[in-house]
Amino acid sequence: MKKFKKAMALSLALAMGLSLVACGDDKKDDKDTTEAEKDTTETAGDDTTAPDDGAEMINGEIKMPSADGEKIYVYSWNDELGNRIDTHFRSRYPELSDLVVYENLNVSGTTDEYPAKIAGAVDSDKYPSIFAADESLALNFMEQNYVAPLSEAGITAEMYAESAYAYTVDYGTNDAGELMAATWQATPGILCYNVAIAEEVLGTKDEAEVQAMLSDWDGFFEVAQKMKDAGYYMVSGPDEVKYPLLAQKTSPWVVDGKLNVDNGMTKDMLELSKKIYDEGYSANAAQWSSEWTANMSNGTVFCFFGTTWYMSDTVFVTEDVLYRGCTGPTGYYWGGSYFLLGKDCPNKELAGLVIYTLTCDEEAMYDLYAIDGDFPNNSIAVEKLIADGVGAIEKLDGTNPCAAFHEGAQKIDLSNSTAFDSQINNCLSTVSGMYNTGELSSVEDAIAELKAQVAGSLTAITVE
Amino acid sequence: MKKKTVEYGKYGYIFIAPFFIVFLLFQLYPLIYTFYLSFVEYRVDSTYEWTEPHFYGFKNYLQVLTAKDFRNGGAIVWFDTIPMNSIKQTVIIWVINFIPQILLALLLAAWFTDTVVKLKGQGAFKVMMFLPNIITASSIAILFYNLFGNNGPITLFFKKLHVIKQDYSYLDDRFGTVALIGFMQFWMWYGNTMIVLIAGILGINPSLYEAAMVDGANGKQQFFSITLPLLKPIIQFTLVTSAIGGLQMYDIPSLFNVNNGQGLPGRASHTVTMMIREIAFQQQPDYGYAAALSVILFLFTLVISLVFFAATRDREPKQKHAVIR
Repeated sequence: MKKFKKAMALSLALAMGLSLVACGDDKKDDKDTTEAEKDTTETAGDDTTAPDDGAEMINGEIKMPSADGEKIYVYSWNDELGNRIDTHFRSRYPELSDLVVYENLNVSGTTDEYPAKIAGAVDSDKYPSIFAADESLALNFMEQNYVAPLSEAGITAEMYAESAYAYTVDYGTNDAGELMAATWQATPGILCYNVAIAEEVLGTKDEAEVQAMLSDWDGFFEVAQKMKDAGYYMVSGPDEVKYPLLAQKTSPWVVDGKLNVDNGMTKDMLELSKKIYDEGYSANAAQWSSEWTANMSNGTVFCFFGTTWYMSDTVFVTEDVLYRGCTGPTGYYWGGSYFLLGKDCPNKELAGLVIYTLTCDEEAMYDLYAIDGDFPNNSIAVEKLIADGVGAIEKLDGTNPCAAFHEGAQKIDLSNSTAFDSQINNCLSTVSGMYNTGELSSVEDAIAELKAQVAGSLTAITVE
Repeated sequence: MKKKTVEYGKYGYIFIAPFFIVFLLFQLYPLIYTFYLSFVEYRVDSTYEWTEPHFYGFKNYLQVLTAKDFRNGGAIVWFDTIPMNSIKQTVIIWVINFIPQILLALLLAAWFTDTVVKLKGQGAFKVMMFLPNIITASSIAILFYNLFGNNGPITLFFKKLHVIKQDYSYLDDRFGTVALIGFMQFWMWYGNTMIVLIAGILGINPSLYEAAMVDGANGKQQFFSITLPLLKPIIQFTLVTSAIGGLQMYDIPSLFNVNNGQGLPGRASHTVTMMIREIAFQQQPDYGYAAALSVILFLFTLVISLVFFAATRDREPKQKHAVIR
């Protein structure tokens, strides 16, 4: 019994001691796998008979990296980018496939978890040579000291701007004029309307005719009144109009380090949201809530303000209900994922090729839509897609939204974005909710409250 | 004659060392560092540069305690600021949680330890009442969010019974959200408080109760004259730990009715710890400001705890008559 007691005491003490050092385990495992991978890569490099000519160019634009260069790590927060790389990069360049390792961090892409993990990875063995960034975080990433301009990887602004939609070039260029971020997907907005309700209330389901009725906000509210009279909701919630209106800014949120509320949309957003709330045009379900998703398939809501990546199965859940797409009262954009380049990337040529394939290579980007349904950031490829008639989407009643997206994408203007936008937009949502429920009695009060909230939570800018 | 005694005392130090090492690293050092941070300016400014931490005086505290009133043209007001409002909301939620909690826990503890009324199945009852404490707070928050949402079953049920107005929305009403969060906390913790109070009551000498019964005291008199005064230390403990835990409440409010980390509606359910997190972990953090708010929370908790200690301390019985020798 004495021995048993001794053994118990010792094992308990060891367990306590282990819990102190357990945090180091992840790195240890990675070190082992890194060693193993390095071995396989070196043998693979020895076996291939790739041309040793370092001056081989792809499409005459970018250098082909050698097949025995250094490995690079590509980071993202889910497996979407990994799938794109598998489908379009690895299939085209199988000899380079082993050198590109994808790391799926499996966190949310829009909260502060992801930047924290990327900053941690910068100091680790697996340096993030390329990492993806959601549009709301991309501007912040562009300011960090561990990213480099894409020109260091061989992606020049001219090459990118040749085919990319103008707004993505503007967004990815910082104040010094360097191209820091490029994206493979363009995300123009699209208004998805319920075909059955359109036929019943408006008498037509054709996109052009519905678009004529919804071509501006006055028309939008006329249709909303018709919907209300017929017993349907126009939109799912009052915050549905947030993204269309946010894209209509005429000046940035922050000018010279000061908050700027006279940017042409703050008042409109507060007033339109309140109108929808007061008149009962919405089912009062917040975006991304389970009721919002349920409203997509229960046939009570007429339209949703969506975007290109809505068409995936996880967002736009439309069992048994058919929708069609039109441009809506205003053009807008929503989201998009951008590539950024790590400063200490060990193999910039390879990183450049990965980015090039997914952002400038017309063939690969044609396939992005044809195979993955991801609307590519390449107007040349899109025009080809329209000409070939590729791209009908089942969820949209078999119609092809490519032309609508193409038109929308060309109209987007992101020159008024700042890195402070996401926090200010959150405060605006909160204030909009307060104004809707009547807690704030007038638009002037709402704007004063917005200033107070931004002053109280974001000290980086001054508020007057 | 040499005495061979083995000195075991020093091994004791080795065994208590781990606790002290962990305490120093994870509790004492961050505490002192937070005090230091509250007096420096350490944030991202509008040009994206990190300021070098340098002494900033009390400006961080002023940032917490004062704000410009934009409805009156930018005049400075004290205490009506976003961080102070979050403290106010936290206290409101805590009071809604705590008062019913301790009253119900006292009542149940009195019933479970009653020597006359011997309740059957006490073990089962205690388990059922303690069970909510074991369910993770995140599950409870999401469950209630779905139950009381605009199309949630309980909301629809209440509307059918006309208990609430037909266009009422728990999630859009300040008091509705705050009351629900208070209720969730109450429901989670009343079992725990009840168990602690039962333990306290069982520590009272039963002969006191027997003497009281002989003297003809009924249940209510026994409770108010014997149980409550002798429970004072336990009640003191419960009050102080509840105050500390309640003022730092984070898990339920941050998962129930939030929009990107801001408690809704209109920051009604935005507690102090959520505010500190928002300031310190957003994309343009301000560590000095967050540290100052943490220190103010600490001082506030300290004051409340001292008030509780003072209210429940043992008082010397006053000498009513002069001692006659």
